[in-house]
Amino acid sequence: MTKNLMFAPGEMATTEFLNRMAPRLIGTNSPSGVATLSFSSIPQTFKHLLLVGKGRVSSATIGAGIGIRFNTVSTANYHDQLLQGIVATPSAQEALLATSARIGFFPGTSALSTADDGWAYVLMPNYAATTSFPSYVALAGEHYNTTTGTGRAQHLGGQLQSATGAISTVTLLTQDASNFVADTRFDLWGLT
Amino acid sequence: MPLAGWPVVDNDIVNYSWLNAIGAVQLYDSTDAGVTFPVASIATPGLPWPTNAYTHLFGIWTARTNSATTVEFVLCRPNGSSSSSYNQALRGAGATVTSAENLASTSLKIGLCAGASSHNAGDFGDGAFFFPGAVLPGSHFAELTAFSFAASNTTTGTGFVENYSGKNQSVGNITSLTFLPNTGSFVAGTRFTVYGL
Repeated sequence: MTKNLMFAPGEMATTEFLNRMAPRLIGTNSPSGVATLSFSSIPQTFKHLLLVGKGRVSSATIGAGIGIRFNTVSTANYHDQLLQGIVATPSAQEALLATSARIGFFPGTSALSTADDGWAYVLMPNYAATTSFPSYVALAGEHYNTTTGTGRAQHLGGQLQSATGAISTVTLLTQDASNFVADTRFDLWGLT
Repeated sequence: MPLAGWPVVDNDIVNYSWLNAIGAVQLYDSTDAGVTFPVASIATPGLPWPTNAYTHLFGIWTARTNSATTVEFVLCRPNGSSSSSYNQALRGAGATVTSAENLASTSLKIGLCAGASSHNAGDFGDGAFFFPGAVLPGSHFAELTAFSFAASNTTTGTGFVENYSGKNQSVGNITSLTFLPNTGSFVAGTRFTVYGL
């Protein structure tokens, strides 16, 4: 491999280069009719994790919180902080000692169109570290498009604060206990 | 046979055109580089060059400092520049939204992390940053968008989410990045990874 990262005809890619390719797909989950999904036995060989999700829920809501749990911990030990804009109103919220932390909001049957979705990009830096709380930072949004046309733009972050440790399982759930509906999808990527 | 499309299947040969189309390549990682702690700053070596190797930079980080604060700013200096940095910030902390600007600063702000006075030793800060068009022909400034989360005092409640845009008016194409805390030093568990897109 040449030092400028561009390949010429006939040039071979070294092992070092191939191992620096990022990101790599760990798994895909397309939940339908269930309230939770998990990515388990996450390889500990990457540097960071990226989760991308998009979808809807079954409840009569314009936005159900989508929660994340680490390592199957479901006790009230999650903290999150939210910054969002809805129409012309910015706001912030935090949730303390909750049973999951929010990564975004997905619309349900109260959205104007069945094509309206919510989405989230979630980063989990240095997820294999053993001396920090499992944590994340996320960008999310949704459009539920009521008659005036409304959506949210969100920035969230949070952590599990009961125990430090590497992230080996990531669980996503609807915080109102409704189900994810068809065409919802979450992909988990490892970044080298 | 040369690769015909995507994805790669058994017996395909990955040729140079496919390799050149790969979206992101890790350019630097502080853990792989053997950075030891505490450390006052973390600097990448010269990032690969020439111009057409990549166009954008993307980074991910987690950090904690030994400063006597609950949270501490995480800063970035493109090409080591210690002048002419400008930031616009948007912050959510508890139920409070604020915004602020920093003019003619020594560094770009890219987020907040936990300091030594945070509530728990396991508190860190997490973030990501983008330098779109980090390497481009023509005249341009190094420009940034970044976001982060830091928790500091969670039993009584204080978490911070930060969004930044910024620029450095003395830097055009980016050839290196230096990361540093506003005060103190980074401690063990801190990690910065930089990718070329």
